[in-house]
Amino acid sequence: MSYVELSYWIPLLPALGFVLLVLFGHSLPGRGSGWIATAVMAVVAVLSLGLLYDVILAAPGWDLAALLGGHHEEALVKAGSPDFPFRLEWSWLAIRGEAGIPLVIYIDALAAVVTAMVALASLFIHLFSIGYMDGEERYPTFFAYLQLFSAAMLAFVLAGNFFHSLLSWEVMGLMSYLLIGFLYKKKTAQQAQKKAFITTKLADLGFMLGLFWLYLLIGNFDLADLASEPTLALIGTGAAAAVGLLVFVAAMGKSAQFPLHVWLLDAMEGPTPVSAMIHAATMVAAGVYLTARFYPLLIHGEVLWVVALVGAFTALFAAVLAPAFADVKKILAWSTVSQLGYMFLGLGVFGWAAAMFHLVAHAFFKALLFLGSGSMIHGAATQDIFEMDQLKKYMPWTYWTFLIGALALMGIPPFAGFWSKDLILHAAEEHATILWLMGLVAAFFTAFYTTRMIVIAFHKPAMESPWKAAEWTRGAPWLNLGPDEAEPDPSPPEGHHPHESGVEMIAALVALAALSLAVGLWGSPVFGYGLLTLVYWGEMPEILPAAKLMGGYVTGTLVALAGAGLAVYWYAADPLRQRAPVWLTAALQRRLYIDEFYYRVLGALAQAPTYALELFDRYLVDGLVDLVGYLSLVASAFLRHLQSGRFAVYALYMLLGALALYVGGVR
Amino acid sequence: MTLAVIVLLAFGGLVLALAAPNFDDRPGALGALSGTVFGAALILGLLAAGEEGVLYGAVQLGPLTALAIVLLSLVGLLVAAGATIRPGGFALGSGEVHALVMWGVLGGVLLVGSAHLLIFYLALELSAYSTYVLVGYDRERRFGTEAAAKYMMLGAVGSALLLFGMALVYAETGSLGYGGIAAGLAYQTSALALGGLALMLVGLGFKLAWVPFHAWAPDAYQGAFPLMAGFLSTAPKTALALGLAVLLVRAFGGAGSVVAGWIGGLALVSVVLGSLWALLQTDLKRLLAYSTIVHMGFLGLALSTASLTGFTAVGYYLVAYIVTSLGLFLVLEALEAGGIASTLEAWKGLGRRHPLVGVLVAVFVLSLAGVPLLAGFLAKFYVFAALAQAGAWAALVVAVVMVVFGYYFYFRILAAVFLDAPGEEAPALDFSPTALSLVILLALAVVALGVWPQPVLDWLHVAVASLF
Repeated sequence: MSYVELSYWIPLLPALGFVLLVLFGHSLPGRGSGWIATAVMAVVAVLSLGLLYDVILAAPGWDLAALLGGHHEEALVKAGSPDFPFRLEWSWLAIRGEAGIPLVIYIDALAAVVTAMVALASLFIHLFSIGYMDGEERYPTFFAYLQLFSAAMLAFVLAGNFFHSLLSWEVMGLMSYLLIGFLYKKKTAQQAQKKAFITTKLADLGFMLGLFWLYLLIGNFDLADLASEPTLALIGTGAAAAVGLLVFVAAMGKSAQFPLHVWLLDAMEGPTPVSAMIHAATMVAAGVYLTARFYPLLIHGEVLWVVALVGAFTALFAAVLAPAFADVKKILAWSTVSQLGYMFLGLGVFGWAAAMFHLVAHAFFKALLFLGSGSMIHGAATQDIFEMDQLKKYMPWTYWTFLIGALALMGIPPFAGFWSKDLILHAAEEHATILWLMGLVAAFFTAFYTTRMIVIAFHKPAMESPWKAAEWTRGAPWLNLGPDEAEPDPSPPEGHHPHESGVEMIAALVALAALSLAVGLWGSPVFGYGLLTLVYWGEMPEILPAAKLMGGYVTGTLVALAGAGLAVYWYAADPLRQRAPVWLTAALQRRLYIDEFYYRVLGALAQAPTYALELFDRYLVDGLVDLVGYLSLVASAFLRHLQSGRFAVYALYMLLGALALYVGGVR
Repeated sequence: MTLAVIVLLAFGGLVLALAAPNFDDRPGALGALSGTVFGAALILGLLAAGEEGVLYGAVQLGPLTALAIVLLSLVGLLVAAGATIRPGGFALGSGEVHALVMWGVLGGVLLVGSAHLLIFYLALELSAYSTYVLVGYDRERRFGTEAAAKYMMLGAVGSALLLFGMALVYAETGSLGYGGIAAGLAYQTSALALGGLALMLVGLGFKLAWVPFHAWAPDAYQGAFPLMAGFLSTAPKTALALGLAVLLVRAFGGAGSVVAGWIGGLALVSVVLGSLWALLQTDLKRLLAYSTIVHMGFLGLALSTASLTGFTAVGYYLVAYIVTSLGLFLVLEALEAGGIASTLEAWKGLGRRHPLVGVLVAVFVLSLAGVPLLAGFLAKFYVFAALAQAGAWAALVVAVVMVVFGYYFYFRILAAVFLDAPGEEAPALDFSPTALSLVILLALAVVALGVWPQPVLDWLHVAVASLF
């Protein structure tokens, strides 16, 4: 029994875990439901790693030197196993031998790598949550939701049929909604979940429209089929562009790309493990994964430049905004938006494998950073980095693991982000200088805000937070800042001393730190670009001649060091000194007025037709519906008289019926 | 195997009828015996799918006959189990119930397997007589006797018309065997033959309760024990629907398209008028009688396409309808046995008094209404697919609109069960454990069929494809 044949258990087990926890979770004592959910994920992780192992054995092998020399034809040194990519298929909704919508599990190298990433990240986030969520009112429900989310994400990654991708995509959206609002008594959480749901739902329309359009064009939803030449030949360039862009809109919504990025900051209202799992490591990356799966269509429609532009702009935009924030989770949320932008940039400039590498690497180090921030919040009883009191002293484990994640994010060698981000920058440099420059500037800001966060939170004593209740955040419902819209989050109580977190939480942090290091090295030249050559697919111009690679790595590192250096220079001496003009800080903290624009202008635009429709609905539609209902009841009352109960009348009906048939037939 | 099933059912019924008086105080023993016979028949039916040939020139062997054996034995098995729900059994003796159900099932099997109109007629009467008796089994109530009398007299009219029609067809073609009739009708259809076919269809439409031959159904359902009404709404319908498909393909030859058109018309009228009638019903058994009329209408729409897709849809509809409808009637039976009448009034607040029963009722009612992820949804979905494939767009639109009317009267049941407060002096709810386990099994089947229909569809596809 190979792991491939067992692969359907990977999404099925957490789904069963969900059912189990919903039915019996409340009868389990203490942290029982948390441990059960974690055990389920441990089994899933073993299955996923086994699957990855099977795939590595079956995948074709490539010669690195030939690849780097540009000789793609001679690079194949080991042919893949004939049944690779693996495909498991069950027919579903099929009638009289037609295809229906078959359930397909499609396992190529990318699916196997991302499945393993999701399973491992989910496992450690489950483990972390056992301690972090302790004492919550709906403890079993939380784990039930996490299980169903994991099931949907794994099903999404393994789906070989876009119809089922869409189904699991929607389940993910629902679980995101429920988990953002998990602390349902907080008004801000309620607002945030609505904002997230509406924004992503709006974008999801694109997925549905694109998918059904695609079905009209090629008559199936099959993922592998979309990459085949004959299928692409059926689709005109214009249609391919339209379908590709529609799907890309959905990806932008899920992955919080400008201008649909507005929901992700608010989504930080969810418990921190949720932020780590859904809003950093997995679900937001689903948009990137989906775009990668629609890659042949995007190339065919010649619209990759849109992907590149959106990605590059978002990467830069989010990185510039991040330094203006004081809430550790919000800084990390901006950072997530920015890093997802890098992935789209990578996809847009033909750096497919590099973008996928960054997706996996980012998932681990960002999950690590978020869990680290959870540990900080747990220990320091505040989310504001200014109010955190020399955490390095009190929370050494958290500090060192957080530092590993931060260095990976900044792109300092030999950590994960250094290897993955620079490959993307390289592909961009090949493609267009302006994109490369945007990426470099974003890298500078990334290093800057990351270092600022570490210096202020871990090294400096607690201080008055400078912008708490700043006047420009008052009366701004679109920023969703507190119970009465300008009420700041509570500060730690007087005399509170930070403390290190429990052993499960530390274990999860250490494991993720190790994984992020390992994945980075696996994709690095030190280990022959192992991860990249595994997912190699089609052209791979992002692997450049070695000499050029070295030069690139040095540029990226220098830029990152400059950003970090500036942050140390500014904040080590005097963290509170206002470096930027107040109006600029205010504008950045109001998120460049984009949320406000949506709230006021689009809200009003959306409401105007609503009023008109309301009148239309109340008087015309309701009137018609009432009329139809009334007429039906009248008809029913009349027809009752036909049912008189008299035998002779009934027999007459039969004879009349026979006559009617005969007349109808002869005519 | 088919021969074995026929013998088994015939003698099983005889043994049960003769042994009955000795076991009247132990209905469980009779139920077990009857259930064993049906279980054996079901297994034999599964094995019979590979058979070929014609038995004594009268009974066609093959996958379709095997399908009828399996479905009807399943109904028989469920009814046999359901007959043990009532504490103390039925007043007139439980043994006869089992015997009549068994002969009714036998009649149904022969009806589908028949290759000769005479056998067809005998099978129809065998199945009909057992239902006449079963409907009137509740002799304590005047209403039940009256309903049975009306049903039987109308049934006699129907049979007479059917016989007359067969005679006319024989006059035209000179044959009663399916093959001979098909040969006689192959090229042109005379007015004589059309008259014969129309009269035959009236007799068959009567059993399927298509409007305007439906008038007996509400009275019969209301007067019968719910279990008998459940049997009446599934077993004869299954047999007739499959039998009609066989006739359409094998016997009616060139006239098949005319008959299919008639069926479509009757079915559409049934869907529309049945839905309208159902809107104002307050008696659950009457409401379910109209619901049966509507469902037989949907079934008829699929039949009228006379295509492989349409017949597969018919098969799936029957499977879905058997588990859903029998499940709901078993709930009614258990509640009536516990002293709760089958009216919307008496059902008020049922969901609050017994949440599990409420949920089970909801599963069945929603499946009847056609809510996704339940068997009833896919059943309608495949009917619509068959209509779309046949290009019958007008019928499709009307049928889809009528589904909305269906929601109205089905949701009235759910509203009474879940939204209304229980009445003041509602009797204590005592739901028999036998019934509960049966009903839970059926509810699971409804969900399973709705989520993963593939194995059943493949199996039906093979059976139906043997017709063409």
